[in-house]
Amino acid sequence: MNVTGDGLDRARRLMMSGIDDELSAVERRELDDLLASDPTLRAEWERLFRVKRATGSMKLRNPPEEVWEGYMNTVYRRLERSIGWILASVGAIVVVSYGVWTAISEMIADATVPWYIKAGVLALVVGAVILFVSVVREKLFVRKTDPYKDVVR
Amino acid sequence: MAIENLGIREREVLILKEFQGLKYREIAELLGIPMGTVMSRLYAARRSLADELDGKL
Repeated sequence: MNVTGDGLDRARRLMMSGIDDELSAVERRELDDLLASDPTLRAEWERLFRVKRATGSMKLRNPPEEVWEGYMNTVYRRLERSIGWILASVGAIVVVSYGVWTAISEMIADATVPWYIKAGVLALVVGAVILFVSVVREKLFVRKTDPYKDVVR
Repeated sequence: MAIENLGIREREVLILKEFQGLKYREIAELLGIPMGTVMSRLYAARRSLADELDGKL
């Protein structure tokens, strides 16, 4: 029987872990069963294993120190930017939320603003909160059930 | 050489695994990517190498 779809994706990841000897006992049994039941997968496994043997016998021509340094700098820069984006986003959310909250409080307290404007703003805020909660709930649900959640394309 | 023809992301994972001897978890932490991504990039790298080296292995 041929493995397809999500099963194939998992099988490929198991094959990698198997080739690199990073499988648990349960995963090893799962991989053995898959390879025994799917001749196409078995052929691919053998092909990939030959590649592993070939690369395992190769020696990396060590690049000059400055090349490694340049590479590590790009890695650190990527991490740095991720942290920067997270901090900037959290800061923006806090500042914008505070601004909106203050503006709404002042407007509600202001007796010169007509009641229907206040009602409209309240409806807008409640609607935005409902939409936000709905999107967050959906994202959390998708995250729990998405088989590709651990994969960045 | 075949490894030089790989995409940068696949090549970096392959080199960290094969030549630096890092574990999947260590590669994932170093690059800030999920472990599943390490495995799929390694798969893509090895698959490309297998295609390119077909008949020579």
